[in-house]
Amino acid sequence: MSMATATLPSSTVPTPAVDRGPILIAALAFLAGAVLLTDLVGLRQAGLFLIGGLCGVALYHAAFGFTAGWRRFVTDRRGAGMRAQLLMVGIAALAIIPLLSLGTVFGKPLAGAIAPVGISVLIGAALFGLGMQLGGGCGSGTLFTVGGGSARMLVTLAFFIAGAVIGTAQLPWWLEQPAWQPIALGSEFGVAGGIAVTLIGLALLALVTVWFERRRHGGLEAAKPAPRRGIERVLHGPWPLLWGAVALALLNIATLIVAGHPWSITYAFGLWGAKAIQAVGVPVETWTFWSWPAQARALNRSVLFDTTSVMDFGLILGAGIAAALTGKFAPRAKLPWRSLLAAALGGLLMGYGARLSFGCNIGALFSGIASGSVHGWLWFAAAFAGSWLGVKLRPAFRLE
Amino acid sequence: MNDRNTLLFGTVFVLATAGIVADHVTHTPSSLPPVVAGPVTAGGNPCAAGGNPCAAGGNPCAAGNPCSAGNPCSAGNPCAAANPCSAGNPCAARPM
Repeated sequence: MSMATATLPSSTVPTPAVDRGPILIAALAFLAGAVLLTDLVGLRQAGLFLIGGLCGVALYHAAFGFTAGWRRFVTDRRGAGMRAQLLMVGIAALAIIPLLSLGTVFGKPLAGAIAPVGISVLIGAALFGLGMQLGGGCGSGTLFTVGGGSARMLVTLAFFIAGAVIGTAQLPWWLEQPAWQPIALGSEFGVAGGIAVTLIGLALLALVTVWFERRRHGGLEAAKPAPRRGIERVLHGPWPLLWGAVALALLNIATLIVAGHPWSITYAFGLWGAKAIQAVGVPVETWTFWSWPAQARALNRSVLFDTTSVMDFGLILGAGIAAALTGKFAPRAKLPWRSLLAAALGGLLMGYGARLSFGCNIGALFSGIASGSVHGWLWFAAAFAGSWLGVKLRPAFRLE
Repeated sequence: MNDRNTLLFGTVFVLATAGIVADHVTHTPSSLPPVVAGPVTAGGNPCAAGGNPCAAGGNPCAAGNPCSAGNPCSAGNPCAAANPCSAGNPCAARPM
């Protein structure tokens, strides 16, 4: 496949000028965050903050976005981005399915991203897919571009949070709609069988992208020549997609071991939004969702105790450091009102859809499929269909 | 780097940091009621007792209850991340 086939030429691009102010602030914030988390919560939480930071660096430097990868496939039939995503899921599945079968690791119980297969996933994922094309990024994409200084994505994130809160208000109704029990491939077919079925499914999808790309272009796209090499490339990017895929897979496995659950992103958005409106007098604690014991506990505790939030904070700062190292923090960008409208609408749809469908591309697709959960596959199919519609709607908002 | 954009992000950074600090101060763990934490076993298991949020009744995951089949706190736990039974997963040994 095309994503790792380029021969690296000698360095041709000078080291970029680092954005000194932003990198100083982001690095200090990261250091202070790690120290404070260790002191206030514990070493494990600080470890998750660090893992989140590394996720941010990998996402930014590899420009590892689901949204652009899916859009390129729909519009240009170029599938390198999608194949990198499939590879990432496959690598993670090789470790996550066996780990889940153990039940515990280092004495810590493990819980996979395994959820019911039903209407809420179908509708929620489709809305999410539509929203990600309008918003300009998925859950991880929104966070790492915000970390990189994208003003437009700040709008997407704000409405993402709002949508997630609305989703928590309506989730109880959605969960009453028809659904099958969760299906875990590792439980259904055993560890080896679960891994085999998952890898075969991922490989078939990769072959479909190859077939479409070859039919349109006659061959696979060659990877772009690397502008720099070695440690220069590690620090300043850009990373090849393959690096991003491997790094993110390993970091998801690390998340499972440290947190006890795989990587997720969007739960925190609902929590942040609920805390924010609670602070101005909205009695969210009386909502059904937030009165469930686990949710009430999260609402009543410091956000620093929420593993997903802490990883998200780390991710944003990690991406900020990566962007500053590249000299691309806070780029100048035109923000026409149609684009902002699309960002707001996309954010709302993603927030609402993620809550209904048990997560985003990371929590439901990546972690779901890598956990052997069938709901992850349904999420993928429904979100891709929604994304296809979103790609078709982008011109209405004057988006490329 | 665009100065106006950098200023915007600096402002957002300060506001977000202030929000996190305020949240932490007003939701310090010591002000919370004691919560059962411990190994995921029957007894201390938040998924086993009557207060089980994944049980029938007030079950957040009802109708296709992901927590009903088998032990919800075992491997292949249906109370997955981003699941309403999770992320603050009541079925985990500790809240997420």
